[in-house]
Amino acid sequence: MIVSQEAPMLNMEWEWMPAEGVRSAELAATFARLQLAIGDDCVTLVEDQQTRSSRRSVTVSLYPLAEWLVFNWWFLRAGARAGHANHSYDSRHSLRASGDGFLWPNLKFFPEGTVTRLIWQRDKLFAPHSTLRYLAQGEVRVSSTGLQFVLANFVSSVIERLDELGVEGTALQAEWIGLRSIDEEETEFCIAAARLGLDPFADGPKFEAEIIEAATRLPSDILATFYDAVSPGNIETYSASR
Amino acid sequence: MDVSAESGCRGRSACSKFLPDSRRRPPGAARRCVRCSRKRSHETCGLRPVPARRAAAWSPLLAASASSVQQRRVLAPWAYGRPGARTWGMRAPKRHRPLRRARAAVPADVDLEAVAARVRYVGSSEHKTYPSFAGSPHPRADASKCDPSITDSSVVTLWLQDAIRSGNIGSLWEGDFPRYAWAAVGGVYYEGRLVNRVQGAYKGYPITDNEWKIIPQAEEWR
Repeated sequence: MIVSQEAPMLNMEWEWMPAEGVRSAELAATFARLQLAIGDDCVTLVEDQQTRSSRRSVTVSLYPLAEWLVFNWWFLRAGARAGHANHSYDSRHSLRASGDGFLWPNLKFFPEGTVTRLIWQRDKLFAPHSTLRYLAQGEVRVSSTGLQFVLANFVSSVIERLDELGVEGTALQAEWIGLRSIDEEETEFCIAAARLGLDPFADGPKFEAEIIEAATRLPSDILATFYDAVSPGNIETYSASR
Repeated sequence: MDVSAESGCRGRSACSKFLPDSRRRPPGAARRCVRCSRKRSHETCGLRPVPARRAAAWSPLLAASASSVQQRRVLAPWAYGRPGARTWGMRAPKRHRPLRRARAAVPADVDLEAVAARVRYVGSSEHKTYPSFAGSPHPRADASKCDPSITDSSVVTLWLQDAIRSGNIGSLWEGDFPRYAWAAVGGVYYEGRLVNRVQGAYKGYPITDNEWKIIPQAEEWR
């Protein structure tokens, strides 16, 4: 699919806010009003039960979102296992899994090679412990490269904010440094692991030999499809039988 | 042609065949071992060694004299990979870390009883809609709201301690404390989140069933 320059892209805008009473240093430092939009659609359009009004932004800490993006970086880039849209899949692909006590939009990322499909869904009801529900829904394909640029820019900005306010030693900062120091060979492995539904730093190393051996055995034109389809425990069996 | 001598590989025999055909490599990539895809050094190659019987049956002269890797693969696909297979590098990162928000086994050297004795719930104003032990509410925060009937922080501290003692904790640790702990009270799931890694202070908030379900390994609830 050709993505033109005018194709829609995720737009993330935020404005730092005071965070009186927020206990955690990293959550307080990154407290902000956040607006997400894709083209003309506002993903963060919400109905507020308290004020009985709607608005286009939410007031949240950006730290959990940035951390979730970085920890799931490879899944957002390459983890598209068809038929695996279960709860585990949601934890890696739905922005709602950012957690830390904030209600995030149900925006899902489905990487499909050069494009990434973004699907956002409205909340039919208010969540039990929230006075908020998201109103917008839609689906669009965006350039994967452009999306990575937007997400990386967002993460960098959050880390800059932490640095400016003297918040150090967070999991986000450590993970981002680790992610940026990955070389070309490790990138290939991380993408392969993500295709298999494995976290490259937690689960992937258990299957290192099998993943690499499959890459040496199989033609490159079917390798991505192979990783997308095979169960990690069966890599060796199926790659050897071909 | 002696490939191993040409490449400088000094590792095991299965890893000593380098890919001489530069057309198969991406621009700028260094020579790599066909077998394990590593550059030059092969001490840590985790691949299975080629079985001795098959290695003996393979004619090294025949394959080594082949002019291209594609021919070598036809002659000895078990050593060089199938024809058309990718040949540039792939390597697992050395850095390991746990999943971010997953229930996990308790580390062997951790005494949960001791950890539980040191934690306390302090709350946080973004989850409050009323003045409380956590201070004035933060009305603008779009966060999960606590039940107003919870007015005693010591009760919540007991929930937190029980959750940690029973191992309902996340795999991410900050200082001496787990970042997350989970408890189910009165049919409601609560998540405790570390807010001070020195003091072991936590905030807590209710989470929905759907949020609970997307926590990896949550089904192994104890």
